[in-house]
Amino acid sequence: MTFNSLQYALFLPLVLAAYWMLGRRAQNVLLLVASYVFYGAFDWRFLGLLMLSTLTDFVVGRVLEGTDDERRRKRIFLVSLAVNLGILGFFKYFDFFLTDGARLLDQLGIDVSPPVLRILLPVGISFYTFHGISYAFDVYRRKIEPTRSLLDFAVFVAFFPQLVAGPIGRAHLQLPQFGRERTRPDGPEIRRAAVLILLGLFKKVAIADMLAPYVNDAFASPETTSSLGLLVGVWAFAFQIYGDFSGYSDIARGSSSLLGISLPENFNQPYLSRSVTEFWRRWHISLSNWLRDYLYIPLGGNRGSGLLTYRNLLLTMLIGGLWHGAALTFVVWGGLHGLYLAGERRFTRVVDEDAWRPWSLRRDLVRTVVTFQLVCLAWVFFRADSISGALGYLGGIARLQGGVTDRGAVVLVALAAAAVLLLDSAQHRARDHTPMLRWNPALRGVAYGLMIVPIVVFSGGTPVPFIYFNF
Amino acid sequence: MTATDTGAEAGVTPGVGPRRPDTRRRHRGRVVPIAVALAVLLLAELAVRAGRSHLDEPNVWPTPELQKKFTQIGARAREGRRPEVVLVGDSMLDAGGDPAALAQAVPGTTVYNASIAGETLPVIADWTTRIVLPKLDPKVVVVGFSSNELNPSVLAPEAGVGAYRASRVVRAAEGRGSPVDRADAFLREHSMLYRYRSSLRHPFRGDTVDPNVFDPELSPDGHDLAFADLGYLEKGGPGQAQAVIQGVVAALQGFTVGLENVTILQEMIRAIRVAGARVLLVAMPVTTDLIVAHPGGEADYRKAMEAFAGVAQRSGAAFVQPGVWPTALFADPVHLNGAGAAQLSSYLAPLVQQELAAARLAEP
Repeated sequence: MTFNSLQYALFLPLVLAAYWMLGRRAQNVLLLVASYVFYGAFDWRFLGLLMLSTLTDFVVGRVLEGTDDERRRKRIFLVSLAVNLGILGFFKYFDFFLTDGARLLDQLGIDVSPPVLRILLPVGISFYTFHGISYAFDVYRRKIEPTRSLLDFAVFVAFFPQLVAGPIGRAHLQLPQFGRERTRPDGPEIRRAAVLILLGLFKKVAIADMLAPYVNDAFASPETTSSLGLLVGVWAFAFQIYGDFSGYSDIARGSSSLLGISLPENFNQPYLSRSVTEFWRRWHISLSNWLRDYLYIPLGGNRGSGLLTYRNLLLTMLIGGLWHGAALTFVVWGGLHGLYLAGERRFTRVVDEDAWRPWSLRRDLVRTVVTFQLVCLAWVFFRADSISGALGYLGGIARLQGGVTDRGAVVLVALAAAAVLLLDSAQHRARDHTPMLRWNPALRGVAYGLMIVPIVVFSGGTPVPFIYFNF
Repeated sequence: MTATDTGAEAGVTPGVGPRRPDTRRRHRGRVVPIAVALAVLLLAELAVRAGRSHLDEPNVWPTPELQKKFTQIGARAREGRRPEVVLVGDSMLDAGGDPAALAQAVPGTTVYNASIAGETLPVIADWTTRIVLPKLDPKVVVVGFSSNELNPSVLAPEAGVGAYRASRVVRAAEGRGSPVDRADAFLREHSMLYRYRSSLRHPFRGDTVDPNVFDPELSPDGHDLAFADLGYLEKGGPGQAQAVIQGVVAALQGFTVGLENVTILQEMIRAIRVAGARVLLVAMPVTTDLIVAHPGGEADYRKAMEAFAGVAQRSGAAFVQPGVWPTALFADPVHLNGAGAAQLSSYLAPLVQQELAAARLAEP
């Protein structure tokens, strides 16, 4: 069941109607059942994995509470790590390491023919295992008290608005919300949630799905597409993945807010960033924060020498790349971002202040455009099927080759870019994700109408799954 | 709170009298955006209604050819241009049945080719009885198949039957439509913005075209022109020719004459006769390459021909078997080219004329 399906349009109101008639404990029971139904609609066979991960982390939390022996605590925490990373490793990376390892050995002259298991990737596995690890890690470091309620914890891990594609939840922010009475959202909150859902649908259906066929065409035949066509193709992908993923996050936040649960922001106008460092403060914020808190800082962060900091940045981004998918293309994507971040840290001094400084057309336009192009260069590796495919694509742009230019794609990418830019600028200026709620009623109505019409037009075609469901 | 705030000064009871200004403003703040959004939707609806003549009819059938033929048949039915003779079959008759040539060879008649390439016997039987007969009401139906349609493998869901039966339009036609299907049908009928959204989706290049989907160019009378200008195994060069032959061999893998296939064909012919049309069953002309592609060679092919003859006899249809024709008349081992289609028209003309004469005689 995806957020842009008719099933979800029926599922959410039904859950909401029942939810607000119940008390706190019954609400959690309903949320857990609804979340398992939601997840089971993708593939019920993987529900067992979700339950295993949940149970392990809950028990680990409880046992950690009962001991002060640091060596024992570490061993107990490693159980959570082993189970979660074991699930993730087997289902996501087993075939990758086996086939790519065999290929490497083959190049060294050692012939091995490992069995490829063609393991199915359970949807959302990267998200809920990270939920669990963060909880166990925070309990282990005594940053939070472990919860005594298995029900609250199971709902925290499986909460359906964020289960399959985030935002990645943090126990200290979310768990307490499931442990206390929730306040029924009032009129303004309901309107804000409805506008977030409408915005999310618009970004997903009218921007991402509209651009998807043009992106597919460009990446399917880079050798026959002109340089301009290839350039437009990668820009289209930049807006497609942004519309797709931030649209999902908006619907998740809107749905969650109707249930009286607040989810963290996951996107904050990333393409207005003036540096890659700023981009990572605005793009997939919940993952950036997770990687910072559970990887970069434990690795030493920027506390050591310059070289160590660069190493930590690169390692964090390489692992972040691998988190997205079991392929070398994602590793290169992460590696490129690691290099960008290290380079910016080495050569510029102002990147840290950027996030808090107001955006200025005169001062920031060039830096924003350059940052966007650097991000797009990395997107080529993210989207391509192989490293050679990505290099071929970039080669096609660099050679200024002739070929097919889909003029329709150029117009539609320009329209999508304009829509994204308008929305993001309005959000940025208002420092609010639903700025239209402050507009005068007629203008607000025009904005809603202009979002609903393309949603009608672009819905109901060949279903385009949310890109991040693959991760 | 002041007297004005409560409405006491105006002499009205709070909560019963006229709305206070801030309540009214709040109310307007809720109603106006919805009204304006609806107005924008209405404007879009009116714009699509104004420009709908320039938009392609939306796809509701599972394949482009079914969609195109459904549109052609619908237009003929609406405009009263029902043909006297209709051809129904798979890709062999789709490519090999030239309505224009047949109409020329049988003066004074009209012909339409309702065959569907890529579909199998059960789908074609359903399409014929559910759409073609009620809408076109022909006097004579020429049914054309070859041995491959009698192989039980064509009944497998993955052979296209599953996609056809699962399509929204067939579900609705069979009364199996869900509430969602009914809502979809309602919206298609009443909102042109909704109905034509697939055409509006890619204004610069038509709807997304999947290169793997067979989408042939059709003549106005339903003739599939994809093979018309091709010499034998000419398309795509020698590599492609090998692939075509492999495809033929795969379609005939494990060949037997399926009892269920025979029953479906027989029922289809009976249904056509019950609808008041005469039937001419044609075992389509073939190449030697097709015959040897059967696992049992000529013996398998002969069994199939006997089965067709038996079906015709039991269901009261006329039967012809043109047999093996030279490859110069084919685009590949299966499909006739333009010259082959012309030859088939000449071959069928006297038989069609005979069936037409009998049909006209039987008319009240």
